[in-house]
Amino acid sequence: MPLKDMPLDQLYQYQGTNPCPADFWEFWDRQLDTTEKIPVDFTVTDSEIPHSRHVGFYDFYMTGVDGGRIHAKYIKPRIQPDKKLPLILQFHGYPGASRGWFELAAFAGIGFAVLAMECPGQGGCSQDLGGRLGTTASDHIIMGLDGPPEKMYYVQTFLDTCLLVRAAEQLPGIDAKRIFVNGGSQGGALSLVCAALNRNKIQRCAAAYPFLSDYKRVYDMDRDLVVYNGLRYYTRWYNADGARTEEIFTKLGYIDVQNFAERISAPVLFATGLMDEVCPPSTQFAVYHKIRAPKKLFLFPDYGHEEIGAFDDKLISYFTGETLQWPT
Amino acid sequence: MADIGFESFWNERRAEISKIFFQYRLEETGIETECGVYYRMYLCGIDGTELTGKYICPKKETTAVPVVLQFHDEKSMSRSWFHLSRYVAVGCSVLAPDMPDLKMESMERAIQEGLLWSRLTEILPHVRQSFVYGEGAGGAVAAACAALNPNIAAAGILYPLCCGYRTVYEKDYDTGFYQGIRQYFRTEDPEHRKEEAFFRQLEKTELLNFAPFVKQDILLGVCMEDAVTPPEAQLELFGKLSGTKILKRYEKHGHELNNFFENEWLKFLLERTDEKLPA
Repeated sequence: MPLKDMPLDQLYQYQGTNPCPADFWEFWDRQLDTTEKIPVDFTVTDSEIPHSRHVGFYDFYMTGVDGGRIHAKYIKPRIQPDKKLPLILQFHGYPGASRGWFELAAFAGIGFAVLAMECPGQGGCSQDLGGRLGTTASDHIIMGLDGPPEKMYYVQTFLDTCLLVRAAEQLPGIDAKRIFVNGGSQGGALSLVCAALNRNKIQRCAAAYPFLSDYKRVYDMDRDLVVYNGLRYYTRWYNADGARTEEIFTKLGYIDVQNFAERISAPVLFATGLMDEVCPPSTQFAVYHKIRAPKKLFLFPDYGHEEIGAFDDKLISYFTGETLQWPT
Repeated sequence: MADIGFESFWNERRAEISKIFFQYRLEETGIETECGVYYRMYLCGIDGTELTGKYICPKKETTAVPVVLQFHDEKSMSRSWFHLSRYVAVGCSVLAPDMPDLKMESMERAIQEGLLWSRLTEILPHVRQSFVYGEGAGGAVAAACAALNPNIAAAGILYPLCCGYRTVYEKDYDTGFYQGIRQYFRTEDPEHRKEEAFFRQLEKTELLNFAPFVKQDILLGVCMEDAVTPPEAQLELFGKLSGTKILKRYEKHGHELNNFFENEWLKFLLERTDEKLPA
């Protein structure tokens, strides 16, 4: 086994390092109550891709929790017009955009509609209205870290997934009882958080090498680079002597995926590449261990933070089975 | 074009294939979805070797469908079942051969094998039109197939290898896929006494030589930060193509997954498969 992180037997025991704020669920229940009062406002329009006899390609827009315009790609196969379709909510990696139309069409190829939300202010077309206290010169993890937690970038983005689920339930021809979530890296994180915050609305969840987990472990491993680079910038600029370390990481605990895991009710299919140098395997195991719902982990010892075709193939039977069948 | 008997060489390779009695078999994979039927494909190769690939057909089509023959890049195998399912979404079948030995030194064989697969698409049941798509080394195979098989309707090619061997050498791209060039000169001909003869050997798989024979509609993607194969030679290839052609040039992309080009390929394919709905 490769050794980019702790040995495998320790990974199987690891429970995470980052502190969890004492009022974590009180805080999130408050945010959910507030978000529940926001009316869902969305439109679906034709996209740059011409419709085919088999499938429609649409742009989806909704108003996010901060009032910004959120964009998603929406693809809907025309299989049987009278039959409601299952839907995948697909989330993308950091700091990109929803994947291409043709790549996403693979979901239509296995019989699903797909709604691929783009995170505000990243590589897609979703708007981030900003206005948060603190630096905007580095990554989104630390955006809003100097202000109240409810204004942190990822608090708002996580809540946007709640509006997305409500919008998805209202999409014509979609089976609201078969809404599933999927994604890798940031997309894996958003899948898990979306499943936790929309408990009982998300029926299946798949997540590959989730980002946004166990920030303190990342920091301790000196992996505060690439997607986690914001942690290093923030430390160098605002915590050079380490006096605020406990305070900073506790606050980051509000947006730490491992803290959401216990509330997921949907089954979770999970993938980790042991050569992952972007999101260390231990930070992923910390999430996995805290999931109480039925779950299955696939390890890919020779893969890093990259497309894992063998895992993508497992999604087919996992998502398409009328009843849950764990891939082998 | 260099006088290397290029045409006669490839005519002979074509003739070898025309003598073959196609032997293939489909094996069910156990993958079942609402829209597609998933098969493992086995094809008897020119020398009797068993070739493998993935084959997915739309499930509910009652009429013949277009098929896309998709060739993968070097150091890879056919893309995942999930990846290939995108074709079923737009009403196409897809056949994706596995080519485990895509090396510069074995490209003659790879191209002939590609041609064999392209001929197979013509005899598959419920197929009405064949398209080819390829990336990198698979792009080279796809382009050569289009040149050698006029029955192919159109092709999508992203950053093809085997394009401009001279430029590869002169611009120091002779590592990775092309390392055989540097290796040859360092070990066999350090003073370059036989340079002409060496490059003449490579002319048989030089895409610039295939280009004038490509008459179909071609969508070509060139990434200007390509560190694997020189973009200037790919632009030269585009200039030499003799059919209707579309160039998509990506200034700051390299030899990597390119969703923008995939979207263009989707549009290109939809325009040619009559699957579009009126606005």
